[in-house]
This record gives sequence, structure tokens and C-alpha cells, in this order.
Amino acid sequence: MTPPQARTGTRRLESHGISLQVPIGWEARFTGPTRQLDDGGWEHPYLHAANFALPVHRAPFGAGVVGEMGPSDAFVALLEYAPASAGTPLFGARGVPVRLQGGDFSASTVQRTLRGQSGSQRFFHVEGRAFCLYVVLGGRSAYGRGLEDVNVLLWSTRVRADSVAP
Amino acid sequence: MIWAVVGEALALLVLATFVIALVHSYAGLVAKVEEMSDPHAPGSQPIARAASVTRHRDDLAMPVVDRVTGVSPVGDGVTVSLVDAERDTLLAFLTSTCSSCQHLWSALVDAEGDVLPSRIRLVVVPKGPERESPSSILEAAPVTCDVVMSSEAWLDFNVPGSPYFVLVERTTGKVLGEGTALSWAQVVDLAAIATGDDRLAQSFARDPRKPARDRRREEEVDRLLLDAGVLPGDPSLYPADARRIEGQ
Repeated sequence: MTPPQARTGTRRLESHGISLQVPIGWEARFTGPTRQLDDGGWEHPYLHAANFALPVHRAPFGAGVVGEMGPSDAFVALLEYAPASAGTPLFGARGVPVRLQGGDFSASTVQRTLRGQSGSQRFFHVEGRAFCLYVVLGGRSAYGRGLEDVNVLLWSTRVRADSVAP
Repeated sequence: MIWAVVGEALALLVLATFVIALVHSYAGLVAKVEEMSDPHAPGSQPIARAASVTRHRDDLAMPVVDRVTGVSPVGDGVTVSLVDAERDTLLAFLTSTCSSCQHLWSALVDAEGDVLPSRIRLVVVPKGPERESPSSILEAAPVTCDVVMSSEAWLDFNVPGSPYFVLVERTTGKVLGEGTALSWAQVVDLAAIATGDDRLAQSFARDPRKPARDRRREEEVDRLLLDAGVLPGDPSLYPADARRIEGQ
């Protein structure tokens, strides 16, 4: 399979055992486990990436971000779940999805319906780690360059088997 | 006897040369002090003005840097884009230890990160965790502030020391201006010079001593009054007693 046309910088961004190349004009931020859960475990890290400036305060699925998106904006959230989930049917797909297409997006997939926005959600596992990929496109204009860049970002994503909990 | 006279003459000559040099040096110092106290004299601008226009990326044929990549003070990976952006970005290269940075950090906390006009995005760039204490940065920076710890960015932008500021144009990543400043007001002044937009500084002529929450409360009151149709100068803003006192 040929990779999507690269429009990335040379440096990889790496954190919590996940690395990726961020397309030009995009920014990305990892948020590490900062909170201990009731069962004694730790919440898991997540990655946010977007072709616009990410605000400092963001909820894991993009609350505080997606409400401000314009029609050409694209937003990616990659959220990790407990490793035990990797063996469940929901996370049964193997590997990071790399070829999202316009047909994969639906207005009903976004967490909160906002005019013009559509979303796509995938669950999968890599190296024994379980993930949810959640992508939001701000409008029709994002189906071109925005979606291309999403695929570039996903294509470059590598996951190590490291344990991420502190 | 003759040797004594010659010796005295030589000693006088050396002494006279020394006195002339001393007077000349003193005159130079006086001229320098006068130049510094004259606000219109060349070279007497504030430090930010002097530095802001001296180096441009174009002059140095430096490659465009399209992003800053590093980690947050808690160690999470971060990439901030400097191109294709909605706003120009001001990179503030600060350290937790430089004495000139202390005032900038505390002013940043007082203003809850709101120290620049809204058309400029502020990103604070301390050196990476291998050169700077993340806990000190976590303590010094307000939680509302974008902070990327990146020694690579210091190299990319040839930062000579701290504090240092680089203003980056929002679409191309071209450096509009750079230099040092000792207060955020000077930084805004620097940005106004770099962009050639004098209104930038005027639009942000705030009282730096006023806490951000007071400014927000004032703005909220102004907004409520405007929504209610009460414009500046409206008679209802001036009670009858106050008008009588004014009239006296």
C-alpha cells in the first residue's frame, strides 16, 4: 500500500509510546495520565491533533475544541483504553486505521451535533494496547486537504508495546 | 644637573598626556550621558525597540521554522504549528532562573496569560527538560498559558539568551521581528514595530497593575450596559447629585 502524500516535517512527535509525524500546519498534543481511577489504576493518555490552534483546555473527546471549528478544520483524537480491552470484540480490529474516506464520516457520529460537522469513530488494538480513534471534520471544505492530512498523520503513527501507566 | 631637568621634563610630559586622556574620556562620558537622557537622540530607545528591528530572518537567510516541537511541563509531547495559522505567534523564550524573566513570569500569572492583543498567540518556550527544571516552569507559568519546553526551538531560532521574543507571521512562518524586552508592554511595543501596526499597542494600552479578573469584570459590566442600550456618556450613568457636584 502506498503511503498518502506526505506533507510533514522531519521531526517526529513522540510521547507515551506513541510517535507520529505531524503534517505542516497541524499541531498535536499528548495528554498523559494525570488522574488515578477508583479501581486504583490510572486513566490513559490521549492525543489531540488539529489543523488549527488547539486550546489549552480540552476534554478527551474534544469538548472545548470542536465547537470552535471552521468548515475546513479537522480534528483527531486518539484515546487509549485499558490494555484488558484490547482482547475484547469492540477493539478487535488490528492496527491504526490509515485510509479514512469521505464515506466513513457521518453527522450522527459526532458527540454533539453541530452544523456541518461530521465524525468517524474506530476502535482497534495495536501491540496489546486498545485505542479509540475519533475524527471530526468541520465541514465540506475539510474533506479535501484536511482529510488527506488526517490520513498522513495516521499513516505515520507508530505504537510501542510499552506500558504507559505510571 | 642637566639629567635632573630632562627627567623632570619627561615626567611632566607623561603627566600632561595622562591628564589630557583623562579629560577626553570624561568628555566622552558626559556626551554619552546627555545622549541617553535625550529621548530624541539616536540610540536612546528602550531595549525592545533597539533589539526588535536589528535582526530579521530574511537578513540572515535563515530557513523558515514551521513548528515548535517539545514537551509540556508535565512531560507530554507537543507540536505547535507556526504556519497556516489564524494568528501571528509570539514565541517567548524564558527561563525559570534568569532574573529579568521573573517580572515577566509574575506579570503573566497576574494576567492569567492574557498579556497580548487577541490577534497574537503567545507560546512560552523554555528550554527542554534536560536543560530546564519542569517543576519550576510548572510553578512559574499560569495554567492558561501555552508552554512548550524545547531546546531545539532555541537552536532553530538562534536565541542568544533570555528573555527573548520572536514574532512569527501566521501564514508563512516568516519572522516579523525579534528581540529582547523586560516587560509585556515592551513586547507589545516590539510587535507593533515589527508589524508596522501602531494600533496594536494602542489597542492593548491596559493598566498592567490591574489584575485580569478586574479587567474582565469591567468588560462584563460594559457589555451588560451596552446590551441594555446604555452607551458611554448616557445621563443615567451620572446620578443627579453627581451632576450637581460637577456643576459647582
